[in-house]
Amino acid sequence: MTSEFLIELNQVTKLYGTVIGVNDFTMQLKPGAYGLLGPNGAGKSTLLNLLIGQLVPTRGDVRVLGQNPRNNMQLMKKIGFCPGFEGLYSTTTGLDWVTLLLQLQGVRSGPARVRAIECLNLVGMGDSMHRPIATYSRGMRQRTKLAQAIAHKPQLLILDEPFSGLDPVGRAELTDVMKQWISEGNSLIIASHVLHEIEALTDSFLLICGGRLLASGTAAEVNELLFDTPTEIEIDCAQPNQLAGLLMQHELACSVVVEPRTHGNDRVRLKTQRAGTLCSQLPDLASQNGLKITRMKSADDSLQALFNSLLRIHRGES
Amino acid sequence: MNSLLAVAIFEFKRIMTPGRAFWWLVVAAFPVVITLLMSTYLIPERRASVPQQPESIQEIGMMFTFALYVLGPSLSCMLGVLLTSAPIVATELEQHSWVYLATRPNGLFHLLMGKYLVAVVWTASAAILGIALAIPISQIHYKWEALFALTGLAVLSSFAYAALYLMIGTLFHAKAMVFCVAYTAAVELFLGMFPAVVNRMTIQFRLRSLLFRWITVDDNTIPANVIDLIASNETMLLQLVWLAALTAVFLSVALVTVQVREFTTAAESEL
Repeated sequence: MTSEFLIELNQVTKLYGTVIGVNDFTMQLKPGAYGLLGPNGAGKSTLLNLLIGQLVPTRGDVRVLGQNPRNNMQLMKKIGFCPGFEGLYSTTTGLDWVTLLLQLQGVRSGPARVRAIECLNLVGMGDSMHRPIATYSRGMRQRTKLAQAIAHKPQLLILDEPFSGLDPVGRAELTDVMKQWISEGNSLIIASHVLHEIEALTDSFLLICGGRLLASGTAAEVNELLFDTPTEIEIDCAQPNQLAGLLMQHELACSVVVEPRTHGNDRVRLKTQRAGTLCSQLPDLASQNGLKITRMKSADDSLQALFNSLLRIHRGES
Repeated sequence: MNSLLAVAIFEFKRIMTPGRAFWWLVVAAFPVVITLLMSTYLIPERRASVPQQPESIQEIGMMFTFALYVLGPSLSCMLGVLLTSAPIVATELEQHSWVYLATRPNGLFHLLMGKYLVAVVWTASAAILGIALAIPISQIHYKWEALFALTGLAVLSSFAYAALYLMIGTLFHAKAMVFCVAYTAAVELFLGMFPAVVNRMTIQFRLRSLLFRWITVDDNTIPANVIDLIASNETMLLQLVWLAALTAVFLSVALVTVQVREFTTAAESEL
Protein backbone atom coordinates (compact mmCIF):
# COMPACT_ATOMS: atom_id res chain seq x y z
CA MET A 1 0.00 0.00 0.00
CA THR A 2 1.33 3.44 -0.88
CA SER A 3 0.41 6.81 0.57
CA GLU A 4 1.37 10.37 -0.14
CA PHE A 5 1.88 10.80 3.59
CA LEU A 6 4.93 9.85 5.54
CA ILE A 7 2.96 9.54 8.74
CA GLU A 8 -0.76 9.53 9.48
CA LEU A 9 -2.08 9.52 13.00
CA ASN A 10 -5.80 9.44 13.40
CA GLN A 11 -7.12 10.20 16.90
CA VAL A 12 -4.34 8.14 18.44
CA THR A 13 -4.42 7.67 22.19
CA LYS A 14 -2.01 5.54 24.16
CA LEU A 15 -2.74 4.71 27.76
CA TYR A 16 -0.38 3.10 30.26
CA GLY A 17 -2.99 1.81 32.65
CA THR A 18 -4.75 4.99 33.69
CA VAL A 19 -1.92 7.30 32.67
CA ILE A 20 -2.03 8.93 29.26
CA GLY A 21 1.09 8.70 27.12
CA VAL A 22 -0.35 10.18 23.94
CA ASN A 23 -3.71 11.89 23.94
CA ASP A 24 -6.00 12.08 20.91
CA PHE A 25 -3.19 12.75 18.47
CA THR A 26 -4.19 13.52 14.91
CA MET A 27 -1.74 14.62 12.23
CA GLN A 28 -0.62 13.97 8.70
CA LEU A 29 2.95 14.58 7.63
CA LYS A 30 4.25 14.56 4.10
CA PRO A 31 7.78 13.27 3.43
CA GLY A 32 10.40 15.66 4.80
CA ALA A 33 12.30 16.52 7.95
CA TYR A 34 10.45 17.25 11.17
CA GLY A 35 11.52 18.17 14.64
CA LEU A 36 9.50 16.71 17.48
CA LEU A 37 9.85 19.12 20.35
CA GLY A 38 8.65 18.68 23.87
CA PRO A 39 9.86 18.77 27.45
CA ASN A 40 10.83 15.56 29.22
CA GLY A 41 7.78 13.37 29.74
CA ALA A 42 5.84 15.10 26.96
CA GLY A 43 5.11 11.85 25.15
CA LYS A 44 7.83 12.01 22.50
CA SER A 45 9.19 8.52 23.11
CA THR A 46 5.68 7.07 23.26
CA LEU A 47 4.89 8.67 19.94
CA LEU A 48 8.09 7.36 18.38
CA ASN A 49 7.40 3.89 19.74
CA LEU A 50 3.96 4.02 18.18
CA LEU A 51 5.56 4.96 14.86
CA ILE A 52 7.99 2.04 14.91
CA GLY A 53 5.27 -0.39 15.98
CA GLN A 54 6.67 -1.18 19.39
CA LEU A 55 3.51 0.14 21.01
CA VAL A 56 -0.04 -0.43 19.92
CA PRO A 57 -2.39 2.54 20.23
CA THR A 58 -5.13 2.08 22.81
CA ARG A 59 -7.38 3.97 20.42
CA GLY A 60 -6.96 5.32 16.92
CA ASP A 61 -4.90 4.36 13.92
CA VAL A 62 -1.20 4.77 13.10
CA ARG A 63 0.14 4.60 9.54
CA VAL A 64 3.74 5.01 8.50
CA LEU A 65 4.42 5.16 4.76
CA GLY A 66 0.82 4.06 4.37
CA GLN A 67 1.20 0.93 6.46
CA ASN A 68 0.43 -0.23 9.96
CA PRO A 69 3.84 -0.41 11.65
CA ARG A 70 3.02 -3.17 14.14
CA ASN A 71 4.99 -6.36 13.31
CA ASN A 72 5.37 -5.11 9.74
CA MET A 73 8.48 -6.72 8.26
CA GLN A 74 8.39 -4.76 5.01
CA LEU A 75 8.11 -1.47 6.83
CA MET A 76 10.96 -2.28 9.20
CA LYS A 77 13.30 -2.32 6.21
CA LYS A 78 12.27 1.24 5.41
CA ILE A 79 12.67 2.69 8.89
CA GLY A 80 15.87 3.42 10.78
CA PHE A 81 15.44 3.98 14.49
CA CYS A 82 17.85 5.44 17.00
CA PRO A 83 16.36 5.29 20.53
CA GLY A 84 17.03 7.76 23.29
CA PHE A 85 18.64 5.24 25.62
CA GLU A 86 21.88 3.43 24.86
CA GLY A 87 21.24 -0.30 24.93
CA LEU A 88 24.50 -1.35 23.35
CA TYR A 89 26.26 -4.61 24.19
CA SER A 90 29.30 -3.53 26.15
CA THR A 91 31.57 -6.47 25.38
CA THR A 92 31.13 -6.44 21.62
CA THR A 93 32.80 -4.05 19.18
CA GLY A 94 30.90 -1.31 17.40
CA LEU A 95 31.65 -2.96 14.08
CA ASP A 96 30.33 -6.38 15.14
CA TRP A 97 27.19 -4.80 16.53
CA VAL A 98 26.33 -2.74 13.46
CA THR A 99 27.16 -5.76 11.27
CA LEU A 100 24.77 -7.97 13.26
CA LEU A 101 21.95 -5.46 12.97
CA LEU A 102 22.52 -5.22 9.24
CA GLN A 103 22.46 -9.00 8.93
CA LEU A 104 19.12 -8.93 10.71
CA GLN A 105 17.92 -6.71 7.87
CA GLY A 106 18.69 -9.64 5.57
CA VAL A 107 22.10 -8.45 4.35
CA ARG A 108 24.65 -11.25 3.99
CA SER A 109 27.67 -11.37 6.27
CA GLY A 110 30.34 -9.98 3.89
CA PRO A 111 28.38 -7.05 2.44
CA ALA A 112 27.01 -6.29 5.92
CA ARG A 113 30.52 -5.85 7.29
CA VAL A 114 31.55 -3.63 4.39
CA ARG A 115 28.48 -1.43 4.80
CA ALA A 116 28.93 -1.30 8.58
CA ILE A 117 32.50 -0.03 8.13
CA GLU A 118 31.23 2.55 5.64
CA CYS A 119 28.57 3.86 8.03
CA LEU A 120 30.85 3.89 11.06
CA ASN A 121 33.36 5.90 9.04
CA LEU A 122 30.58 8.26 8.03
CA VAL A 123 29.70 9.03 11.66
CA GLY A 124 33.33 9.44 12.65
CA MET A 125 33.84 6.09 14.32
CA GLY A 126 36.38 4.74 11.85
CA ASP A 127 39.23 4.67 14.36
CA SER A 128 37.28 3.14 17.23
CA MET A 129 35.01 0.61 15.56
CA HIS A 130 37.21 -2.36 16.49
CA ARG A 131 37.19 -1.50 20.18
CA PRO A 132 34.66 -2.95 22.67
CA ILE A 133 31.69 -0.63 23.16
CA ALA A 134 32.42 -0.55 26.90
CA THR A 135 35.41 1.68 26.12
CA TYR A 136 33.34 4.21 24.15
CA SER A 137 32.43 7.65 25.44
CA ARG A 138 28.78 8.73 25.46
CA GLY A 139 29.27 10.62 22.21
CA MET A 140 30.87 7.62 20.52
CA ARG A 141 27.93 5.48 21.52
CA GLN A 142 25.55 8.04 20.06
CA ARG A 143 27.45 7.93 16.78
CA THR A 144 27.42 4.13 16.76
CA LYS A 145 23.67 4.19 17.34
CA LEU A 146 23.25 6.54 14.43
CA ALA A 147 25.38 4.26 12.24
CA GLN A 148 23.10 1.28 12.88
CA ALA A 149 20.05 3.41 12.12
CA ILE A 150 21.25 4.54 8.68
CA ALA A 151 23.18 1.39 7.71
CA HIS A 152 20.32 -0.32 5.87
CA LYS A 153 19.52 2.88 3.93
CA PRO A 154 16.00 3.43 5.26
CA GLN A 155 13.56 5.92 3.77
CA LEU A 156 12.62 7.30 7.15
CA LEU A 157 15.04 7.93 9.98
CA ILE A 158 13.58 8.33 13.45
CA LEU A 159 15.97 9.72 16.05
CA ASP A 160 15.22 10.15 19.73
CA GLU A 161 17.53 12.70 21.38
CA PRO A 162 20.47 11.91 19.07
CA PHE A 163 22.65 14.78 20.33
CA SER A 164 22.49 13.73 23.94
CA GLY A 165 26.01 13.44 25.34
CA LEU A 166 27.75 14.87 22.31
CA ASP A 167 30.30 17.66 22.55
CA PRO A 168 29.86 20.73 20.29
CA VAL A 169 32.20 19.31 17.66
CA GLY A 170 30.34 16.02 17.70
CA ARG A 171 27.02 17.82 17.39
CA ALA A 172 28.24 19.77 14.40
CA GLU A 173 29.56 16.64 12.72
CA LEU A 174 26.38 14.70 13.35
CA THR A 175 24.29 17.64 12.17
CA ASP A 176 26.25 17.59 8.91
CA VAL A 177 25.58 13.86 8.50
CA MET A 178 21.87 14.43 9.00
CA LYS A 179 21.77 17.44 6.71
CA GLN A 180 23.37 15.28 4.04
CA TRP A 181 20.76 12.62 4.79
CA ILE A 182 17.92 15.10 4.33
CA SER A 183 19.46 16.60 1.18
CA GLU A 184 19.38 13.15 -0.41
CA GLY A 185 15.60 13.26 -0.25
CA ASN A 186 15.17 11.07 2.80
CA SER A 187 12.75 11.75 5.60
CA LEU A 188 13.69 12.44 9.17
CA ILE A 189 11.88 12.74 12.46
CA ILE A 190 14.08 13.96 15.25
CA ALA A 191 12.87 14.25 18.82
CA SER A 192 14.52 16.59 21.27
CA HIS A 193 13.77 18.87 24.17
CA VAL A 194 16.41 21.37 22.99
CA LEU A 195 15.10 23.75 20.36
CA HIS A 196 18.36 24.83 18.76
CA GLU A 197 19.41 21.22 18.12
CA ILE A 198 16.45 20.83 15.81
CA GLU A 199 16.57 24.32 14.33
CA ALA A 200 19.90 23.46 12.71
CA LEU A 201 18.27 20.64 10.77
CA THR A 202 14.73 21.65 9.95
CA ASP A 203 12.28 24.47 10.41
CA SER A 204 9.27 22.17 10.59
CA PHE A 205 8.33 21.59 14.18
CA LEU A 206 5.81 19.48 16.01
CA LEU A 207 5.40 20.71 19.54
CA ILE A 208 3.98 18.24 22.00
CA CYS A 209 3.34 18.38 25.70
CA GLY A 210 1.28 16.23 28.02
CA GLY A 211 0.81 13.75 25.20
CA ARG A 212 -0.93 16.36 23.02
CA LEU A 213 0.08 18.00 19.80
CA LEU A 214 0.12 21.65 20.78
CA ALA A 215 1.32 23.24 17.59
CA SER A 216 2.98 22.44 14.33
CA GLY A 217 4.59 24.44 11.58
CA THR A 218 7.70 26.47 10.98
CA ALA A 219 9.56 28.46 13.63
CA ALA A 220 7.99 31.67 12.27
CA GLU A 221 4.51 30.19 12.52
CA VAL A 222 5.07 29.09 16.07
CA ASN A 223 6.46 32.50 17.01
CA GLU A 224 3.42 34.14 15.47
CA LEU A 225 1.20 31.89 17.52
CA LEU A 226 3.03 32.95 20.65
CA PHE A 227 3.02 36.66 19.83
CA ASP A 228 0.16 37.52 22.15
CA THR A 229 0.28 34.66 24.60
CA PRO A 230 0.43 35.31 28.36
CA THR A 231 4.01 35.80 29.33
CA GLU A 232 6.25 37.18 32.05
CA ILE A 233 8.73 39.91 31.21
CA GLU A 234 11.59 41.55 33.11
CA ILE A 235 12.56 45.16 32.38
CA ASP A 236 15.53 46.88 34.04
CA CYS A 237 14.76 50.59 34.21
CA ALA A 238 16.21 53.71 35.89
CA GLN A 239 12.64 54.88 36.71
CA PRO A 240 10.94 51.61 37.69
CA ASN A 241 8.00 53.04 39.60
CA GLN A 242 7.13 55.42 36.75
CA LEU A 243 7.37 52.59 34.23
CA ALA A 244 5.16 50.35 36.37
CA GLY A 245 2.54 53.06 36.61
CA LEU A 246 2.54 53.67 32.87
CA LEU A 247 2.23 49.96 32.08
CA MET A 248 -0.81 49.64 34.32
CA GLN A 249 -2.29 52.88 33.04
CA HIS A 250 -2.05 51.72 29.42
CA GLU A 251 -3.31 48.26 30.37
CA LEU A 252 -0.17 46.66 29.01
CA ALA A 253 0.36 44.53 32.12
CA CYS A 254 -1.94 42.51 34.37
CA SER A 255 0.43 42.68 37.33
CA VAL A 256 3.64 44.54 38.06
CA VAL A 257 6.28 44.04 40.77
CA VAL A 258 9.28 46.34 41.28
CA GLU A 259 12.34 44.46 42.52
CA PRO A 260 15.14 46.60 44.00
CA ARG A 261 18.64 45.49 42.95
CA THR A 262 21.95 46.29 44.60
CA HIS A 263 23.74 46.66 41.28
CA GLY A 264 22.35 48.40 38.23
CA ASN A 265 18.81 49.60 37.70
CA ASP A 266 15.87 48.21 39.61
CA ARG A 267 13.85 45.54 37.87
CA VAL A 268 10.20 45.63 36.86
CA ARG A 269 8.74 42.16 36.64
CA LEU A 270 5.41 42.13 34.86
CA LYS A 271 2.85 39.70 33.57
CA THR A 272 1.08 40.50 30.36
CA GLN A 273 -1.39 38.95 28.00
CA ARG A 274 -0.44 41.44 25.28
CA ALA A 275 3.25 40.78 24.84
CA GLY A 276 3.17 41.76 21.18
CA THR A 277 1.44 45.07 21.86
CA LEU A 278 3.77 45.78 24.77
CA CYS A 279 6.84 45.23 22.62
CA SER A 280 5.57 47.52 19.89
CA GLN A 281 4.41 50.34 22.26
CA LEU A 282 7.24 50.29 24.81
CA PRO A 283 9.82 52.28 22.74
CA ASP A 284 7.36 55.17 22.24
CA LEU A 285 6.30 55.03 25.87
CA ALA A 286 9.92 55.20 27.01
CA SER A 287 10.93 58.05 24.71
CA GLN A 288 7.81 60.17 25.49
CA ASN A 289 8.33 59.85 29.26
CA GLY A 290 12.12 59.97 29.32
CA LEU A 291 12.47 56.44 30.70
CA LYS A 292 15.89 54.81 30.55
CA ILE A 293 15.50 51.08 29.87
CA THR A 294 18.76 49.10 30.06
CA ARG A 295 17.54 45.54 29.68
CA MET A 296 14.43 43.63 28.71
CA LYS A 297 13.90 39.92 28.52
CA SER A 298 11.31 37.25 28.90
CA ALA A 299 11.44 35.92 32.44
CA ASP A 300 10.38 32.46 31.39
CA ASP A 301 12.16 31.83 28.13
CA SER A 302 12.70 28.13 28.77
CA LEU A 303 11.15 25.61 26.49
CA GLN A 304 8.88 24.49 29.32
CA ALA A 305 7.46 28.04 29.50
CA LEU A 306 6.83 27.97 25.78
CA PHE A 307 4.97 24.71 26.18
CA ASN A 308 3.03 26.00 29.16
CA SER A 309 1.86 28.90 27.02
CA LEU A 310 0.89 26.58 24.20
CA LEU A 311 -0.88 24.30 26.61
CA ARG A 312 -2.93 27.24 27.86
CA ILE A 313 -3.84 28.14 24.27
CA HIS A 314 -4.72 24.52 23.63
CA ARG A 315 -7.06 24.54 26.63
CA GLY A 316 -8.57 27.83 25.54
CA GLU A 317 -7.26 29.62 28.64
CA SER A 318 -5.40 32.45 26.90
CA MET B 1 18.48 -18.52 8.06
CA ASN B 2 21.26 -15.99 7.53
CA SER B 3 19.84 -13.83 10.32
CA LEU B 4 19.38 -16.77 12.68
CA LEU B 5 22.95 -17.87 12.08
CA ALA B 6 24.16 -14.30 12.56
CA VAL B 7 22.50 -14.05 15.98
CA ALA B 8 23.80 -17.49 17.01
CA ILE B 9 27.39 -16.69 15.98
CA PHE B 10 27.19 -13.27 17.59
CA GLU B 11 25.91 -14.80 20.83
CA PHE B 12 28.59 -17.49 20.82
CA LYS B 13 31.20 -14.75 20.60
CA ARG B 14 29.53 -12.86 23.44
CA ILE B 15 29.41 -15.82 25.81
CA MET B 16 33.13 -16.50 25.42
CA THR B 17 33.90 -14.67 28.62
CA PRO B 18 35.73 -15.88 31.73
CA GLY B 19 32.54 -15.62 33.77
CA ARG B 20 30.48 -17.73 31.39
CA ALA B 21 33.37 -20.21 31.00
CA PHE B 22 33.45 -20.60 34.78
CA TRP B 23 29.74 -21.44 34.93
CA TRP B 24 30.12 -23.82 32.00
CA LEU B 25 32.82 -25.65 33.95
CA VAL B 26 30.62 -25.67 37.08
CA VAL B 27 27.79 -27.32 35.11
CA ALA B 28 30.22 -29.83 33.57
CA ALA B 29 31.96 -30.55 36.88
CA PHE B 30 28.76 -31.05 38.86
CA PRO B 31 28.06 -34.71 37.88
CA VAL B 32 31.76 -35.54 37.93
CA VAL B 33 32.29 -34.35 41.50
CA ILE B 34 29.17 -36.07 42.83
CA THR B 35 30.06 -39.31 41.06
CA LEU B 36 33.56 -39.11 42.47
CA LEU B 37 32.18 -38.63 45.97
CA MET B 38 29.78 -41.53 45.53
CA SER B 39 32.53 -43.82 44.26
CA THR B 40 34.90 -42.82 47.03
CA TYR B 41 32.61 -42.76 50.07
CA LEU B 42 29.06 -43.96 49.52
CA ILE B 43 29.56 -47.33 47.88
CA PRO B 44 32.41 -48.65 50.10
CA GLU B 45 30.48 -47.41 53.15
CA ARG B 46 27.37 -49.23 52.07
CA ARG B 47 29.31 -52.36 51.31
CA ALA B 48 30.83 -52.17 54.79
CA SER B 49 27.49 -51.59 56.54
CA VAL B 50 25.79 -54.56 54.90
CA PRO B 51 28.62 -57.04 54.41
CA GLN B 52 26.26 -59.99 54.50
CA GLN B 53 24.42 -58.75 51.40
CA PRO B 54 27.00 -57.33 49.01
CA GLU B 55 25.57 -55.22 46.24
CA SER B 56 25.46 -56.92 42.93
CA ILE B 57 27.44 -55.29 40.13
CA GLN B 58 24.19 -54.62 38.28
CA GLU B 59 22.49 -53.00 41.23
CA ILE B 60 25.40 -50.64 41.88
CA GLY B 61 25.67 -49.94 38.18
CA MET B 62 21.97 -49.12 38.03
CA MET B 63 22.32 -46.85 41.03
CA PHE B 64 25.10 -44.93 39.31
CA THR B 65 23.12 -44.78 36.06
CA PHE B 66 20.13 -43.22 37.81
CA ALA B 67 22.37 -40.91 39.79
CA LEU B 68 24.03 -39.74 36.59
CA TYR B 69 20.63 -39.32 34.94
CA VAL B 70 19.56 -37.06 37.82
CA LEU B 71 22.88 -35.19 37.82
CA GLY B 72 23.32 -34.88 34.06
CA PRO B 73 20.21 -34.73 31.87
CA SER B 74 18.11 -33.49 34.79
CA LEU B 75 19.94 -31.11 37.13
CA SER B 76 22.92 -30.04 34.99
CA CYS B 77 20.74 -29.38 31.99
CA MET B 78 18.12 -27.58 34.07
CA LEU B 79 20.79 -25.44 35.69
CA GLY B 80 22.48 -24.75 32.37
CA VAL B 81 19.37 -23.57 30.56
CA LEU B 82 18.19 -21.74 33.66
CA LEU B 83 21.32 -19.61 33.41
CA THR B 84 21.19 -19.14 29.65
CA SER B 85 17.63 -19.46 28.39
CA ALA B 86 15.43 -18.08 31.16
CA PRO B 87 16.87 -14.54 31.20
CA ILE B 88 16.93 -14.00 27.42
CA VAL B 89 14.06 -11.49 27.31
CA ALA B 90 14.78 -9.92 30.70
CA THR B 91 18.42 -9.25 29.83
CA GLU B 92 17.60 -7.57 26.53
CA LEU B 93 14.93 -5.43 28.16
CA GLU B 94 17.09 -4.46 31.12
CA GLN B 95 20.00 -3.36 28.97
CA HIS B 96 17.62 -1.63 26.52
CA SER B 97 18.93 -3.56 23.53
CA TRP B 98 15.50 -5.04 22.80
CA VAL B 99 14.29 -2.27 20.52
CA TYR B 100 17.24 -2.56 18.12
CA LEU B 101 16.33 -6.17 17.44
CA ALA B 102 12.59 -5.63 17.59
CA THR B 103 12.78 -3.09 14.77
CA ARG B 104 14.40 -5.58 12.40
CA PRO B 105 12.30 -7.79 10.12
CA ASN B 106 11.57 -10.91 12.20
CA GLY B 107 14.20 -9.61 14.59
CA LEU B 108 12.56 -11.02 17.71
CA PHE B 109 12.13 -14.46 16.13
CA HIS B 110 15.82 -14.50 15.22
CA LEU B 111 16.81 -13.15 18.62
CA LEU B 112 14.86 -15.77 20.55
CA MET B 113 15.74 -18.70 18.32
CA GLY B 114 19.39 -17.69 17.97
CA LYS B 115 19.81 -17.35 21.72
CA TYR B 116 17.80 -20.54 22.27
CA LEU B 117 20.21 -22.50 20.08
CA VAL B 118 23.19 -21.02 21.90
CA ALA B 119 21.61 -21.95 25.25
CA VAL B 120 21.03 -25.52 24.06
CA VAL B 121 24.58 -25.95 22.74
CA TRP B 122 26.12 -24.30 25.81
CA THR B 123 24.14 -26.52 28.20
CA ALA B 124 24.27 -29.77 26.26
CA SER B 125 28.02 -29.51 25.72
CA ALA B 126 28.66 -28.95 29.43
CA ALA B 127 26.32 -31.79 30.42
CA ILE B 128 27.78 -34.20 27.87
CA LEU B 129 31.33 -33.41 29.01
CA GLY B 130 30.25 -33.97 32.61
CA ILE B 131 28.61 -37.30 31.77
CA ALA B 132 31.57 -38.41 29.63
CA LEU B 133 34.00 -37.69 32.48
CA ALA B 134 31.75 -39.14 35.19
CA ILE B 135 31.01 -42.50 33.57
CA PRO B 136 34.62 -43.82 33.66
CA ILE B 137 34.90 -43.06 37.38
CA SER B 138 31.48 -44.52 38.13
CA GLN B 139 30.79 -48.19 38.71
CA ILE B 140 28.41 -48.55 35.80
CA HIS B 141 28.75 -51.94 34.20
CA TYR B 142 27.51 -51.09 30.67
CA LYS B 143 29.52 -47.94 30.20
CA TRP B 144 28.98 -47.38 26.46
CA GLU B 145 25.26 -48.07 26.74
CA ALA B 146 24.99 -45.57 29.59
CA LEU B 147 27.11 -43.02 27.73
CA PHE B 148 24.90 -43.10 24.65
CA ALA B 149 21.69 -43.09 26.66
CA LEU B 150 22.70 -40.25 28.96
CA THR B 151 24.24 -38.03 26.27
CA GLY B 152 21.14 -38.51 24.12
CA LEU B 153 18.95 -37.59 27.07
CA ALA B 154 21.16 -34.56 27.83
CA VAL B 155 20.63 -33.26 24.31
CA LEU B 156 16.86 -33.83 24.43
CA SER B 157 16.67 -32.37 27.93
CA SER B 158 18.57 -29.24 26.86
CA PHE B 159 16.24 -28.64 23.92
CA ALA B 160 13.09 -29.21 25.98
CA TYR B 161 14.04 -27.34 29.15
CA ALA B 162 15.55 -24.44 27.20
CA ALA B 163 12.22 -24.08 25.39
CA LEU B 164 10.28 -24.33 28.65
CA TYR B 165 12.43 -21.72 30.39
CA LEU B 166 12.38 -19.47 27.36
CA MET B 167 8.59 -19.55 27.45
CA ILE B 168 8.47 -18.81 31.18
CA GLY B 169 11.10 -16.09 30.74
CA THR B 170 8.99 -14.50 28.03
CA LEU B 171 5.74 -14.68 29.96
CA PHE B 172 7.21 -13.53 33.28
CA HIS B 173 10.36 -11.71 32.26
CA ALA B 174 10.59 -9.61 35.41
CA LYS B 175 11.04 -12.65 37.65
CA ALA B 176 11.99 -15.29 35.11
CA MET B 177 14.40 -17.28 37.28
CA VAL B 178 12.00 -17.43 40.23
CA PHE B 179 9.14 -18.68 38.08
CA CYS B 180 11.38 -21.21 36.34
CA VAL B 181 12.61 -22.67 39.62
CA ALA B 182 9.09 -22.71 41.09
CA TYR B 183 7.65 -24.38 37.99
CA THR B 184 10.43 -26.95 37.89
CA ALA B 185 10.01 -27.84 41.55
CA ALA B 186 6.22 -27.98 41.45
CA VAL B 187 5.57 -29.52 38.06
CA GLU B 188 8.67 -31.24 36.75
CA LEU B 189 10.04 -32.66 39.97
CA PHE B 190 6.86 -33.10 42.07
CA LEU B 191 4.05 -33.74 39.60
CA GLY B 192 6.50 -35.49 37.27
CA MET B 193 6.91 -38.22 39.89
CA PHE B 194 3.19 -38.43 40.57
CA PRO B 195 1.78 -41.71 39.24
CA ALA B 196 -1.15 -40.06 37.46
CA VAL B 197 -2.11 -38.76 34.03
CA VAL B 198 -0.72 -35.33 34.85
CA ASN B 199 2.87 -36.56 34.93
CA ARG B 200 2.63 -37.50 31.26
CA MET B 201 2.67 -33.81 30.42
CA THR B 202 6.10 -33.32 31.96
CA ILE B 203 9.50 -33.43 30.33
CA GLN B 204 10.86 -35.49 33.22
CA PHE B 205 8.39 -38.28 32.63
CA ARG B 206 9.33 -38.54 28.94
CA LEU B 207 13.07 -38.42 29.62
CA ARG B 208 12.73 -41.08 32.30
CA SER B 209 10.69 -43.26 29.98
CA LEU B 210 13.42 -42.99 27.35
CA LEU B 211 16.06 -43.83 29.96
CA PHE B 212 14.30 -47.09 30.73
CA ARG B 213 14.09 -47.83 27.00
CA TRP B 214 17.75 -47.09 26.35
CA ILE B 215 19.43 -48.90 29.24
CA THR B 216 19.33 -52.51 30.25
CA VAL B 217 17.23 -52.90 33.39
CA ASP B 218 17.45 -56.09 35.35
CA ASP B 219 14.02 -57.14 36.54
CA ASN B 220 15.47 -58.13 39.91
CA THR B 221 16.92 -54.65 40.41
CA ILE B 222 13.80 -52.68 39.56
CA PRO B 223 10.55 -54.61 39.22
CA ALA B 224 8.49 -53.92 36.12
CA ASN B 225 5.49 -52.73 38.15
CA VAL B 226 7.63 -50.00 39.73
CA ILE B 227 8.84 -48.87 36.32
CA ASP B 228 5.23 -48.72 35.14
CA LEU B 229 4.49 -46.20 37.91
CA ILE B 230 7.30 -43.79 37.10
CA ALA B 231 7.71 -44.23 33.35
CA SER B 232 5.74 -45.03 30.25
CA ASN B 233 6.01 -48.27 28.34
CA GLU B 234 5.00 -46.58 25.08
CA THR B 235 7.38 -46.75 22.15
CA MET B 236 10.58 -44.71 21.91
CA LEU B 237 9.22 -42.87 18.87
CA LEU B 238 6.14 -41.77 20.81
CA GLN B 239 8.31 -40.48 23.65
CA LEU B 240 10.40 -38.50 21.16
CA VAL B 241 7.25 -37.12 19.52
CA TRP B 242 5.97 -36.07 22.95
CA LEU B 243 9.21 -34.26 23.74
CA ALA B 244 9.28 -32.61 20.33
CA ALA B 245 5.66 -31.54 20.72
CA LEU B 246 6.25 -30.07 24.19
CA THR B 247 9.33 -28.22 22.90
CA ALA B 248 7.41 -26.91 19.89
CA VAL B 249 4.52 -25.73 22.06
CA PHE B 250 6.83 -23.94 24.50
CA LEU B 251 8.72 -22.23 21.69
CA SER B 252 5.52 -21.26 19.90
CA VAL B 253 4.07 -19.68 23.04
CA ALA B 254 7.31 -17.72 23.53
CA LEU B 255 7.42 -16.54 19.92
CA VAL B 256 3.76 -15.56 19.85
CA THR B 257 4.12 -13.74 23.16
CA VAL B 258 6.94 -11.51 21.92
CA GLN B 259 4.93 -10.68 18.81
CA VAL B 260 1.74 -9.86 20.69
CA ARG B 261 2.97 -8.18 23.87
CA GLU B 262 4.39 -4.68 24.08
CA PHE B 263 7.90 -4.89 25.42
CA THR B 264 9.02 -1.32 25.52
CA THR B 265 10.66 0.99 27.99
CA ALA B 266 8.78 4.00 26.71
CA ALA B 267 6.35 3.82 29.58
CA GLU B 268 9.14 4.06 32.11
CA SER B 269 10.97 6.88 30.40
CA GLU B 270 7.88 8.88 29.71
CA LEU B 271 6.06 8.74 32.98
